[in-house]
Amino acid sequence: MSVMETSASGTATPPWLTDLRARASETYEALGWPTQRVEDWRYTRLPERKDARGPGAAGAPELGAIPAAGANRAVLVNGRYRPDLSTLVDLPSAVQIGGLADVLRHDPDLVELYIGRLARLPNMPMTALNTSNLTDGIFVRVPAEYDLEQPLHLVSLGHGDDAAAQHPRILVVLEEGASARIVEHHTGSGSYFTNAISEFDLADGARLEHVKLQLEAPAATHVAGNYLGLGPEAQYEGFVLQTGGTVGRNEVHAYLGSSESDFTLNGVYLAAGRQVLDNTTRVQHAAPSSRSRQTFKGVLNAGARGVFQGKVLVERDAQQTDAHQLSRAVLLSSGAEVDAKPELEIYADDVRCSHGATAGELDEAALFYLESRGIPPTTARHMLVEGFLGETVDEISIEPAKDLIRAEIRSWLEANVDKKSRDPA
Amino acid sequence: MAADTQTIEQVQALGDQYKYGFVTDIDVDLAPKGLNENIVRLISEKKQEPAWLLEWRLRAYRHWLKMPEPKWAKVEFPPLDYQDAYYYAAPKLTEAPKSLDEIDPKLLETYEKLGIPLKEQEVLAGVAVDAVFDSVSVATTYKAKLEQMGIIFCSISEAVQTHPELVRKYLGSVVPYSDNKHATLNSAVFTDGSFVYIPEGVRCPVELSTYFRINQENTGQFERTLIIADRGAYVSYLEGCTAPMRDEHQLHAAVVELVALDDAEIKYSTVQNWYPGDEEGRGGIYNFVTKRGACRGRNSKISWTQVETGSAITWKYPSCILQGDNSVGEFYSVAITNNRQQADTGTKMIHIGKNTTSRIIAKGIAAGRSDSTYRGLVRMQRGAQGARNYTQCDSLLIGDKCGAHTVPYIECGNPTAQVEHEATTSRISDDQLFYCLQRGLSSEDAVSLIVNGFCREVLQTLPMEFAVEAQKLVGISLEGSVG
Repeated sequence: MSVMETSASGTATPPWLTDLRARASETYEALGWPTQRVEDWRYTRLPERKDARGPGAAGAPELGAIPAAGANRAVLVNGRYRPDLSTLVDLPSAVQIGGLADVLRHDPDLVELYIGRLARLPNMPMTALNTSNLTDGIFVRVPAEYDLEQPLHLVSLGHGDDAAAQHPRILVVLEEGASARIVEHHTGSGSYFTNAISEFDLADGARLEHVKLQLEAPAATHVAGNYLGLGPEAQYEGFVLQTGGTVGRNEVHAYLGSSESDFTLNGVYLAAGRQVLDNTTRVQHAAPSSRSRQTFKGVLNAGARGVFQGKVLVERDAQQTDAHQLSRAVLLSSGAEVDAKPELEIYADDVRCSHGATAGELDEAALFYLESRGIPPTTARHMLVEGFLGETVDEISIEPAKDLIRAEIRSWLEANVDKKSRDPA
Repeated sequence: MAADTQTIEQVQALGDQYKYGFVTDIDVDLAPKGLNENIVRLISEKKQEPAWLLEWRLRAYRHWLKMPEPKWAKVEFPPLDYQDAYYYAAPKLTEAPKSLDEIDPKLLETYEKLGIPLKEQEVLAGVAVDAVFDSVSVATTYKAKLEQMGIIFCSISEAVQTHPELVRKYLGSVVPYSDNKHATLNSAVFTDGSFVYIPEGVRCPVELSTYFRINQENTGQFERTLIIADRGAYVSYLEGCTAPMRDEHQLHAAVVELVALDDAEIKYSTVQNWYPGDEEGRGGIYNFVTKRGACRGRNSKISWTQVETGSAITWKYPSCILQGDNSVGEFYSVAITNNRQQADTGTKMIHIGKNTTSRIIAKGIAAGRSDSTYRGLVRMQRGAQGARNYTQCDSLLIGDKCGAHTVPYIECGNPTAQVEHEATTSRISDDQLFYCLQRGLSSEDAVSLIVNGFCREVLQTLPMEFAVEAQKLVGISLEGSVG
């Protein structure tokens, strides 16, 4: 905890928060920086930035360059909420969107109800590190039965050099029967380190569409934990795009603790150069009749590495669980690598659970076919990759986010896939 | 009551009988309890081993002291007390039953259910073989035939004396002494096991099995097996048997090494049905085995088939290192757990050479309060151009107190390599069961039929006689788990 944080608010920190930070700090100190000796981190080496605890200098972020993915936008710069950069229009007073520090000042009891309830600390050093730095972030609450139709664009900007670390925190609460569409967008400039935590609490029958964009600066490092709690008959439809940063790791922890909940998560990752992009998911079915679906697709160019670790846990009482998971990766050239660890841990017998994983190159026969029809090799490769990713991207229901993702894929292909990348070095 | 519990009791009862049968005043060559360098030296000395082997054992022992217990497997058991065990006992002179008439009829009933031939029953029940059953002559006939073809098939201790150059060249070349805690312990204190060498171009005409090995002693808890198939050779090796095995040792840490040179093929089949403990899992055998095959040569092939039904804890990952171009690795497995049994088993396929292929079919069946885990690694090294893998893992849960888990690790470092992995978990559907019952099958027969269908792909890769017994074993292992 830095000195600056406590003095910034000017008002007294509620005792529960002081206590929470202290516990988080202790947990982090006990667990230490994750290394590859820890099973959960065996495939991803997280460059050590443990000394970089302070936020970078708040420069002048160029918001103009960030395409809008919704009418309403809330912005964090280095983890601090910036009302001056945020635009929130046409919102009924019952919908709460704003800075977490602000809510902590005016209504700390409300935050206490939700924060850290899903993002538990044990065994999670990075979550603990984020929580020990908890001062600000974005808070969203949608009241019961309200449908927040307009997509909400939450932007987290990072800025700074190797010594800069930011711990953005997002807390979203959907009350009974509420629904929302949220685009969580991480980007920035420099070689900063992001350690983001987002918590999404979905009450009975709530519905959330969520797109997470990991488009960090090329030299940045991104680690994030998305924690989800689904109430009875709650629905979550998520999508993750990762293509930024030198090392990027997105964790999704979903707790399906009530019956009839429905969880869908798809993802695309595009890695080139010396990038390591890691998608780690953990779906815990703890009540009967819940359903989960996951599909992750990766495209990897020379030197890059993709990681998929997906665990589906079905507890004793979670009968009639229906869980499916699929990881597919395309290796465009030699030197690329993908490591997948799809895991099933099942303690109930009346369940339908399956997973699949594949890895390989683009179909030579399909390439030949396209070329034989007069399509230039580079275009043919672009078409095949777009086709491979297309079926997953098409399912995104937030239109502006879908367009943005398609554009990202296209520009990544332009930059990374040409005729040459086909020939093994 | 589950059938295997019955058999357990029978075996236990039998064990008691044996206790009274021991002749106590005969000098039994037994090293003191505990493990230290002197014990390792003693074992080596008793076996009159050359200096290099003693050195190797000692290196393993010293390394073992520094190794932590492996904790990654999904099995739970109290810490092992290595000092509370015997590591060397010369073959005991015991008063064995003279004929099957002296054996508990209940045990014989189990053998009958399995359809084990009479002579074999005698061996399994521990009847003094030489006295009643002329296995020696059968085995000798085989041995003479094999010797004619240049095939070496003997105990590893014998091989150390008669073919030291082969043993020295290959021992530890697939599973190095520093491999893992259990394999390292085995390297330090192994006392027996099999040695097979098939010379160039020879196709072994019979299925080799420890059963035919002369001087068959108690195989011991630290078994070491080394099989070498020279260029173009072929051998099929059978380990274990379907009948419940009686054994006093709790910890079994065996090591099996296979080496296949150019165009050679080794087929290794295991049926394991050791004492799984009582219903609460007390007293069962810990089966911590390291099995690995190296496809060193071009076009070589190693195929593992295992049917695992016994032991309290199974910790076993028969693996293939596919080094030679175009080499093939196969792993077919059925793992059945009941009561409190825990099985963490799977394979590793390491693709190094070009156009190497591997196929993994694993079937896990969990019943009672047991846990069954498939844990496997498929690794495509950077140079594994055009390599292929196909993996299928299916789990079947019987009852709502058991657990079935799948933990595959898939690492692909070559774009021309293709990896496919599929896994499913389900239970015996009510429809299937209802259909069988309304056709007049008992619920136990129905479960046996359905589970056998579920395992079919694996069971049919077993050698004929083995397959028939294994099918019956599948049914027997699950008796009492439904209804």
